[in-house]
Amino acid sequence: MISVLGYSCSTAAGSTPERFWHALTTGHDCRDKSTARPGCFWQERQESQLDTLVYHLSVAYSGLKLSLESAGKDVLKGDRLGVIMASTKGAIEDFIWRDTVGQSDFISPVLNRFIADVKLRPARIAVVSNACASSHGAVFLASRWFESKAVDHVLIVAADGVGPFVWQGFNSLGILAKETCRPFAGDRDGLQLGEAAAALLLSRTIPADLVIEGIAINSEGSAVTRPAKTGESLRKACVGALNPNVGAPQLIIAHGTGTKLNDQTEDQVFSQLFGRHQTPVLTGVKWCTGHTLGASGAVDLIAAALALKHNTSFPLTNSIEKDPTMADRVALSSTSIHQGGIERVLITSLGFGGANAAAVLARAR
Amino acid sequence: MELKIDFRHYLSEPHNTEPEWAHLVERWYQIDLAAHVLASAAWKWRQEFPKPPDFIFLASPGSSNVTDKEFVDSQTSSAAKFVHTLPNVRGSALCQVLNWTGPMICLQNDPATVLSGLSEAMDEFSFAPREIWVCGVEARDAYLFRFSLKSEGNLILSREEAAMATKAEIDSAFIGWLTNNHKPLSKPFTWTYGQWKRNVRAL
Repeated sequence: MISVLGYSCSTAAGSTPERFWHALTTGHDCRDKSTARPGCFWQERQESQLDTLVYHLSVAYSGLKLSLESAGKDVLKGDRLGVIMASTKGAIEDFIWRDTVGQSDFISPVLNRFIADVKLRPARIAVVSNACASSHGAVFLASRWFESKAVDHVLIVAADGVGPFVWQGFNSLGILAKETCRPFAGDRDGLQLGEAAAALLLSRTIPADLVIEGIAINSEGSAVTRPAKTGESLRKACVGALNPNVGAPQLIIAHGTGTKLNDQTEDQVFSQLFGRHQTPVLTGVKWCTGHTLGASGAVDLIAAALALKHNTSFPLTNSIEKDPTMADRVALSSTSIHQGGIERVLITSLGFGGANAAAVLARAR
Repeated sequence: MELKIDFRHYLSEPHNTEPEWAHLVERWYQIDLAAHVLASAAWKWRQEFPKPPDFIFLASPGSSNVTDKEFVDSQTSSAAKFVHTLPNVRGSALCQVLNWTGPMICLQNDPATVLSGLSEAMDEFSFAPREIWVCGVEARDAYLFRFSLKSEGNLILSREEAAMATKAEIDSAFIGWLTNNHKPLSKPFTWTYGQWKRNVRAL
């Protein structure tokens, strides 16, 4: 079992998990401050995208460090720490526009700078770039490190920004929403891009209130930009993460991009796994923060941790009318959210290139 | 029990004509050079190694730099080009040619991306011995390190033992390939686990 010792994040909702939770539960769509336009709102305050990402990672890290210190669990300086970074394009804007392409990949310099800036001395590092399922990939790799006892704790840092390169790319795909992001709604028309940095500290030796009960990844080759019509690979990932002996989750935080195909596939797989009932309730965060790409899985895990902490959920505020083809579990803006009863949360992630992943976050038993 | 590490290297050049594996890859004509090279290599690997991998580490030096540049230079904002600027996406062509689904992790750590893949694979193998592939592509070269059991049994790793290996014992040709533009080796080679530990982990 993997303990979650702490977490923090910087999103369009603010620089703490509490601000993120407040936005989710008060129905605040943060996209105006995010990336509804072709530019990086973070980068306007920094010289480069590398500086920007390192800065926001440091903000998330500082929040995590403070929470660990107050809980007397500061293990970040120990020599049994591993660090894994999850990202899709890292500091691509610096590399591509400054014509330094070819000198290095565009993610590991971000991790190396971050580690130097916060003065960590990890026993092991890695960069995972599994498209928008990168964060789940990082958690999966951490689980393998724990299994082999290579390290005792793993700091997962995840970050992606949106500059001209990324914006232009997603725009070319024709999947950007014209106005709001409305996951699982009948009138959904695409995703909104967002930016985030997140930090999660996992441990195999120190117990905590929250645990990752299961984590699984599965790659498929059906097509580059859409999952297989059967959803088989995502279903395999979910089955790999779920433990039937401990019961079903009460909540699903879906990848929920707001694109036709993504949401349809997820609904199909959840229906296969849980029937077409109202439970487990299905929600997501991308209507609020935008799609934060490689960081989105970490952001979703933090939303799940907050839902468990507060023992309640939040609706898909922008989604007014459900897609009639979908199961009844979708938490629309009008859905009454009940307090209590959340013991475990299923968090799914899908990425281009056929990357599918699922994690289950639960209260420690 | 012995771990077999089998290294294959292909210098593969895409052709203008339809490749043999075209029927396996959706819209094969839209994939980028890296995916094309990897698919071509996978077509050969599929015939050489009937046993499918249980786990794949995708580790390509230089990430998707070439396609990134092409996407920016093309001025046309090609959607097909953009999706291949994600370094894991070439793995989709690999999956399609191998008709494979399973755990795949795309790693980046230049200039030691290949070494990172090898290191992760070795540790993965140490506690879960099975068929593990480390593969990737750089320009027109695709490579594959295949970890597999030569016979049944348990493998117990000693990190200390690996750490004791010295630089002097490292195969210079192999280091040259890993660190010096990955020039093709003169022939494929197979190492025993002991050779592997000396030659790679000490790096």
